[in-house]
Amino acid sequence: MRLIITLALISLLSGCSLTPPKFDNNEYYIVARIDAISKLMHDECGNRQRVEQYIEQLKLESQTLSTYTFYLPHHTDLFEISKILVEDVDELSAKYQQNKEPSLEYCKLKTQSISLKVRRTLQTIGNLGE
Amino acid sequence: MSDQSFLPYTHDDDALIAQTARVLHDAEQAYNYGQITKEEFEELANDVIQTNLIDKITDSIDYKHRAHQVVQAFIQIVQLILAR
Repeated sequence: MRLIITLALISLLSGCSLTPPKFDNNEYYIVARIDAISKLMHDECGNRQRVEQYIEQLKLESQTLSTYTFYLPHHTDLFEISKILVEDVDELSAKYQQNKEPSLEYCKLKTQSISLKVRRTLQTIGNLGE
Repeated sequence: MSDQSFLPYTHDDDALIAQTARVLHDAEQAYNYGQITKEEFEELANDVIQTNLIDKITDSIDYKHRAHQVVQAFIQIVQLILAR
């Protein structure tokens, strides 16, 4: 009996150090929106006006994710991911703010790259709901 | 990859690696054909590193989640034994 209690206590302690973030509907929704926006943007890379609108949306969503995860307990990992996404969107935004004409291929590859990161994140957040 | 059988999750590291490699390959091709600038290519190449970083972070979350589930199951078993 003593052994069982000891094992239970050890498990509890180790469990505390491995506390994963809890599934959060809002978080999942924001990340899904980032994926949807980057997909739509990918299809309209030739239209600068639309691209700029999508970039504004991406900025809002990625910044929202960053602020949202920052204040949630056990969401440090997801906050780190949000920082990468914010950085990505900032790079994209900078390209279109310098009055240059970024290439069509750059736009397509950059949005693909964002989508890859976001989809991997969606899978993980989704798994937390199991 | 090799952990795929251990984790009951719906993610495929091999697919992500393949897709990331494809983006890098396409970026290389675009740069070689002059479709993107050197600066754009470097940014896209750096994105590959960032994608790998995200993969590591998400793997860590997956493992924590899995370990937490195992611990929870174990605690339930112990509680059942103690309740008898």
